[in-house]
Parts: sequence; C-alpha cells; structure tokens
Amino acid sequence: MSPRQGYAGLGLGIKGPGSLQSLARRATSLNQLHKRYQLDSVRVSAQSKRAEESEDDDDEEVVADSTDEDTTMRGDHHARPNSHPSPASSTTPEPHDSTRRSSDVTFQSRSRSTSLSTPVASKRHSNEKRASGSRPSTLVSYGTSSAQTRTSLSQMSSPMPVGGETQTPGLPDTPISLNSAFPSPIIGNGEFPMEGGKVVNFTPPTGPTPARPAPPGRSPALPPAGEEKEGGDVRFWVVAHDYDPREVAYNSDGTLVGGTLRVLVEKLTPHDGPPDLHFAAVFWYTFRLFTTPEELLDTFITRFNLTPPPVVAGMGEAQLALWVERKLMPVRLRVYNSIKTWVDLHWRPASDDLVLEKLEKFSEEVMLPTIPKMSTRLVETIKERRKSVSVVSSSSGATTPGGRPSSVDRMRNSAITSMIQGAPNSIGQPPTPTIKSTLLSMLSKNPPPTNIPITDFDTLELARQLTIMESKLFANVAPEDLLMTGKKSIPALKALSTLSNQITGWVADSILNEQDAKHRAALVKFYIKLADKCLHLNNFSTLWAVMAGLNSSTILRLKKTWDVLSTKHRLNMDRLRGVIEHTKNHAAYRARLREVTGPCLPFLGLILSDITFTQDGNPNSRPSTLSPELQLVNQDKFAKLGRIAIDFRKYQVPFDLKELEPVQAFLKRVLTERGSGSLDALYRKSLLLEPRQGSERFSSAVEKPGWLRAQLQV
Amino acid sequence: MASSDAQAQPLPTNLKLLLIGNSSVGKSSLLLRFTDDDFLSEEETAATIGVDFKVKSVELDGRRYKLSIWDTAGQERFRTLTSSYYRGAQGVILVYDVSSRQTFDELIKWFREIETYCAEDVVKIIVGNKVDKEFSRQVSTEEGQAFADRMGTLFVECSAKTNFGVTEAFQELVRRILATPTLWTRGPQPVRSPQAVNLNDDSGGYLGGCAC
Repeated sequence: MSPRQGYAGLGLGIKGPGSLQSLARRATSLNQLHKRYQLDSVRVSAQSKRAEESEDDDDEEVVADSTDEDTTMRGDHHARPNSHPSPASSTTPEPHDSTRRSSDVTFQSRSRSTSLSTPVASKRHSNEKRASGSRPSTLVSYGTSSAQTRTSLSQMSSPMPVGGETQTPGLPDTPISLNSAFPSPIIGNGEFPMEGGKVVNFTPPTGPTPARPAPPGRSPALPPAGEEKEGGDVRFWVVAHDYDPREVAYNSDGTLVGGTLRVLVEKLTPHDGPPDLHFAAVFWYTFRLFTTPEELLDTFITRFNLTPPPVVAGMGEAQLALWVERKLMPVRLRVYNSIKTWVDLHWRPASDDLVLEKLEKFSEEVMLPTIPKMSTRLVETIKERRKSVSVVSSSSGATTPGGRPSSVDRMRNSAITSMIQGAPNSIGQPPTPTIKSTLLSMLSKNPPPTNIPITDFDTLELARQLTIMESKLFANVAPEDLLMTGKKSIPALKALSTLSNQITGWVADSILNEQDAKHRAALVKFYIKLADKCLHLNNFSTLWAVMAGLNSSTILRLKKTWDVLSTKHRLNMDRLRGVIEHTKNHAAYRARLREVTGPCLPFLGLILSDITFTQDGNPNSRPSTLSPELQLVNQDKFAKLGRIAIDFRKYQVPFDLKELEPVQAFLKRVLTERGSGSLDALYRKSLLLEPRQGSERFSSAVEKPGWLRAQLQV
Repeated sequence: MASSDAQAQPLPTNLKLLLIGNSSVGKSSLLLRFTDDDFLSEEETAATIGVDFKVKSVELDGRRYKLSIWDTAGQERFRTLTSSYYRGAQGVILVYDVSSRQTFDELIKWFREIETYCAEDVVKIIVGNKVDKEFSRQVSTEEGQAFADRMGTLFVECSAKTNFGVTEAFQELVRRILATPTLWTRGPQPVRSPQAVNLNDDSGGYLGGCAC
C-alpha cells in the first residue's frame, strides 16, 4: 500500500503558488461566511446523542485502523522497490488494497471530469478546483463533477461484496448508521465504506442513477430535500480543512514539507479518508523533536472538540446532523485512535508522563461520555500508566521514569515484539549450533576455564553467538531515542558502541598477544573468516567491528604477519574491505543493505551520522509561503528523520538462531577483559612485536611513551 | 614555518581536512556553515546523505584551493574509523564546545587518535565552537589558547550558529598547511582526489607505511 496516496485526494495536494492563492481566496470567503452565520452549539449537543448510537460500527472501524497501522509500521519499508517482502505485509487485509486501487481510479476519473489539463498533477488540480469551489458561483459545476465521481466510485466498488451484506451484524438499527455516516462520494478514498471486510453501499442522494440502488431501509436520515438543495455545500465542508492555508507548505512534488501542529494533527485525524499511515508513523517517532507532549495533547483536545463551521451551523439541523456524522464523528474516532496509538505504542514515560493527568481527565470526562465503549479500555490503560508512575516516584529516587519498564511499557514492548515475531522467519528450526561437545561442556563448567583459545570455536558459530548478542542490544533501542542521538545520553546506544569497540579491541589485542608471526597470521585468518560469516548472516555491525580491529594501524603495520597470510585470505580481506568501503558515503554498503532480506544488523555508527547530519543540516521550522512571518514545523526534516526511525525497526527483527548460554557468558567475559585496552597501549604492543622498519614512515608519537604528558607539562 | 620553501614548490590545489571532536560539539554544523554559508534547504540535504565529505573552494592570496572536509559526526563513540579514513589528511580541525568542559577535557583523547593515525606534521587547529552561548561558557578563551599553545596547534573560537569566526578557522588552517611543504611534497599520496580512493589503496596497508 502506498500511504502517500492516502491523502492525495483530500484537498491537501496543492501545487504551486497559484493554487495557494486559490486556497487563500477560500479562506477569505470562509471568513465572510463566518460573519454571516452564528454557531449553534445547542444543535451540536443534540446530535451527539445520535452519534453515540453508531458506536458499534465505530469500534470496528477503530480495530481496522489499528491493524492497518501496525502493518504499515512493520512493513513500511517493504513498500519501496528493491526491499524484501515483509512477512507482515501479507497480513494486510486484501480488501484494503483493492479499495485503495479503486479510489485511485476514482480520482483519475474525477480529475478528468473537472477538465483540467496537466495530466501529472491532475489529482492536485482537482483539489485546487475543489478548494476554489467555496465560491458560490462554482458550486453548481462542482456538484456535477462530484456526481460523476460518485458514479465512478460506485462502479469501482462493484467487484466487492455489496448489497445485503452491508448491514454489519449486531449493528443497532439506528436512524444514523455508519453506512449513512460516510456516504459522501467526495470521501472517495474507499476506506470508510469498508466495514468488517464488507463494502458499505452508497446511497447517493443526487446525480445520475448509481450503479446499485440503495437497499431498502438504509436511506440516510437526512431529509432528501435538504440534501438535494444543499448538496454543494455539503461537499464544500466535507473537503474543507480546519486550518488556515497559510499554515501549510508543499514542495513541487506536492509533498507536505511544512505545517503548524494543528495541520499535522489534522493529517493524523482526517475525517474523509484513511489516515496516512506512513505519516502517522513518522509523526509518532518525531513529534517530541518539534513540540511538547502537552502541546500535542492540547491540539488533540481541540480537534476532538471540533465545532461546525458557521456555514454548516446556519443551514439547519439536517446539515448539522450530517456534519456530525461525516465530520465530527470520524474526527473523534481518529483522535481516539491517535491517542490510543500514542499511549499503547509510542509512550515515552520520561517525557510523556507529564501529561498523563491531563490525558486521564480528558479521556474520562470528555471521551468516555462521547464514545464510551472504546474509551473504557483507553481510560484503563491510562490509569495503569498513572499507577506505575506513582509507584516509580514513591518507591525510590534512584528509579527514574523510564528506567525500569512498567507493566504498560512491557505491554508496549511485547506489542512491538509480537509484531516483529509475527514474521514467518520463525518457520522451521534454527540451525543446529556447530560447536564441539567437549568445548561446550568445558564452557559449562563452574567456574568455566579462562584459557580457551578463541580458535577452538567454529567461526560460523562464533558469528552466530555474536549476532545474538548484538541483536538483543539493537532490540533495546527505541527508535524515538535513536533520533535523540547527540542530544542526550542513550544507554541502549552506548551499549552498542561499547560492544562494537570491545570486539574491535579484542580482535586487535588477541592478535597482538601472539609472539610468533605465524600464530598471529593464523588469528588474522580466523578473524577474516569470522567477518565473512558475519557478512553471510547479514550482521554488518559485528563485521564492521571485526574489520576495524583488523584494519587498525596496530594490526595493519605488522608486515611479517600479513606476509605469512595466503593470497586467498588477503583477497578475502580485500573483498570484505569493499563491503564497508566508505567511498561516496558508503554507497556500496548502503546499496547492499537495501537488498538484504530477512533479519539484519546494520552498522549503527552510520545511522547515527545520518541522523546527526539531518538534524544539524535542517532547521526545525520554516517560514510559511503565504505569510513568511509565520513559522511552520519543517516537516521535510522530520519526515527524513522519521524514515530513519521506521527503517530501524527492521533491524530489530530477531534472528532465528539458537543461543548457547555458556558461549554467551564466555564471550561477554572475554570482551570485557580483553576488549577495553587503549589505542596507544595496543600500539606499543604492536611496535614491540614488529619494530618499526626503515621504510615505514610512521609518525606516531605513541612510540615515545609519555609524549602527550610531556606536552601537557610544558 | 618555511614559507619561502613553500613558494619554491608547486602548491597543492586539493587539501584533505578532517573534523574531529566529541559528539554534539557542532562539527557538522560547522561544516555545513562553512561549506554552504547557510543551513541547507530540503533539496540540498537529500544530497548530504550520499557524500562522505564536503568540498569547498576557497581563495587565499590569489590562489584557489579545493578543500575536501571529512566529518563523521555521530560516530564519535565508535572505534571503527581506520587509517584509510585518516590517510592523506593535511589538516585536522579539533572541535570542542566552549559551553561544555567535558568536550574540552576530552580533546586529549582525539589528539591521541591523530597521533596514531596521522602524519607527524599534519596541521592541527583547535576550534572552540558555540561562542554564541557566552552566558553558559565553561572554557575561557585564555584556557583554550593556552592548551593550543602547549600542543603546538592553532586556535580559534567561533560560532557555527552566528557564523562568527568560521571562515577564519578554515583559513588559518589552510595557511598553515601551505606553509608546511613536507605535508604535500611527500610522495604521491597527499593530493589525492577523495573520490578516487579505491580498494587498492587499502591493500598497500599491510605492506607498511600506511599511517598517512
């Protein structure tokens, strides 16, 4: 699925300054209308009771939503070409795909009907047209085009099951059902008509005869006369946004590159189409970089308490009812969904617990009375979070929020893990460990012997066990934290760089501990093999660390050692160097990484560099195109960062390998004891083994111990 | 330094500089500021991921020089940078944050790296960044200068945020490199187009003489 398409037809895709002007015109006319009509809040509250009645449907819709999001977050990268097929993507409900496809065609047909010329940007032009439709003179022609759209949409939906199945089982027989709640053809995006895998039929009130007549008893609760008369206006507010056009910025591709927080929140909670799931994932990973949890919650609350535009309020009860069904309820459900996503999957106690009290109040006092059935669960989760906060703060000062995972965070973690483990890579058994039974039993002794030569291990099994070790550390990294690199200390990232450095140090140190050049060469050969096995396992992280040890100047300068090594192994070494080659910012490595299928561990350092450059190279805000004094969130920057965070999730997929506890314990000890030597200590060792030769132009002052100290004491 | 000797030699046109220092001292901001004189637009940052060094052409005393400036900001904690990265560097910019004493104290760690990997005569400059944060300064100018004097390096304070002193920092470094002929008259390696670096460069490594 392509999340980008999700929003394309919703009047957001604006191209060029011309269309922005038309949006500005629309805003002006909105303001004029605002003066003419008064808000009728009494009517709104009267409608909310009705809205409640369609709750069962709502619940289903919510479930469908969250399923959708999970799959996208998991399998997002799979949407790109050249990436491996996601095990998760197979769980995407098939009907969604076909619906989306149908909506695409719908948009095409609509843009044809609006007779706009540019084929490439036709979708956006149609939006532009719609935006300008706020001017009364264009309402009629606009209504015509949407009637055509409606026809095409109905036709497109025809291959799907319809008719008698439209009634969701258990749906209360209320005058306003979900069916009538989302019948607007302008919605056009195909998700809302889906109910539990069934297509909800449309009952277009005007226009050409639909491909399928509405089933009896499913007629909308609106007076047909009113609908007929005011159809154009209905369409107007259906497509209208709740923000000022100055608050949003697009690039030449029509991609959202800037917006105020409420623009972003509206994009998270659209009333007239499926949420853009990629956008949502990006938002949840990045919002703390440009706003605060409190500001976000306030924006959600405002969005939840959406008031009808004056134009609707002034058109009488029928219109208002329609507005509640087609706009307010969908928006509220999206807000509910978003908050649920936040609390369940993206809650960071350290920063977000601050708003927990306010969120509890809002969910209990506002959400619960409005959408009780769903909110009950959410309120429970929030209460549990609050409980865990008070436990943490009262138990001891040493336990910082987020330090010890609370039960709800474990829930979050297990949710993520289960998503990951849903991958069918667990089909079949993990490969049988290749280790001599004598070695394993020796390692299992208590206490285990300390003098086992590393070469007693099979390189493949060693690579596997190191992979398990690193993989666990990768899984500990919250993508949100990853993006905070350089801004604060992140223990999970530090653990990874420490392990990487220990492996590098251990490789060098163990080679330098051999007095004989042949023995050193044997070890070099062993580590080249180990690096090669890491490559086969797609463990670039350990590969990088091992290669850094072999490539360190302390090892590279050992001419006698390398001379003993056979050509075959030297060639292997060159080949592995090619994998981690830094030329063109590791272009070769990046290309290889993209091609990888299945579990994989990248070199973390490069990801951290990318984040650093994206962070430092882009401002957090950008001026609005229409009024430069207004600063917008630089969504372009956060989309880039969010993409890195989303990509990172595929490195958290566990490997299908069998962990050998005694080997893990042995490696941990060896790496801690032998992998922490300083660079200059290793260098001195190296010089002792193979003293500098005449041709060697080493400058190293390390050769002269105390050089640095001497410099400092001058 | 022997600037008269330098005149006698053909001057280099390509110089390789490295940016080094603790994380979050603002190395990448310094680089981006120097190379673009502004923070990047979204079209340009797409290109940032894709090159491993930034090129900046500078004019000094009527001559143009192409600087390739390498930065691995973000990877500071990893010991994965090896001699191939440092090789051929004529100048090293050691950056610390004047509002963070720790970044200043740990400069010595980076000196150790340079001593291990770079040529003895590589030109070093210590740069105290973020002087815009004067109110939270933890390292005085005098202290920075004294340390640089002791280490025999150049010293400059700057702010990547306000662009204060950024150009001067790079100019100082280039001037000193040009005044150090041993750096660029020694064999074929110093003036190497970074793009031309290939695998075979590394293969020379285990034959010795690879430090720079």
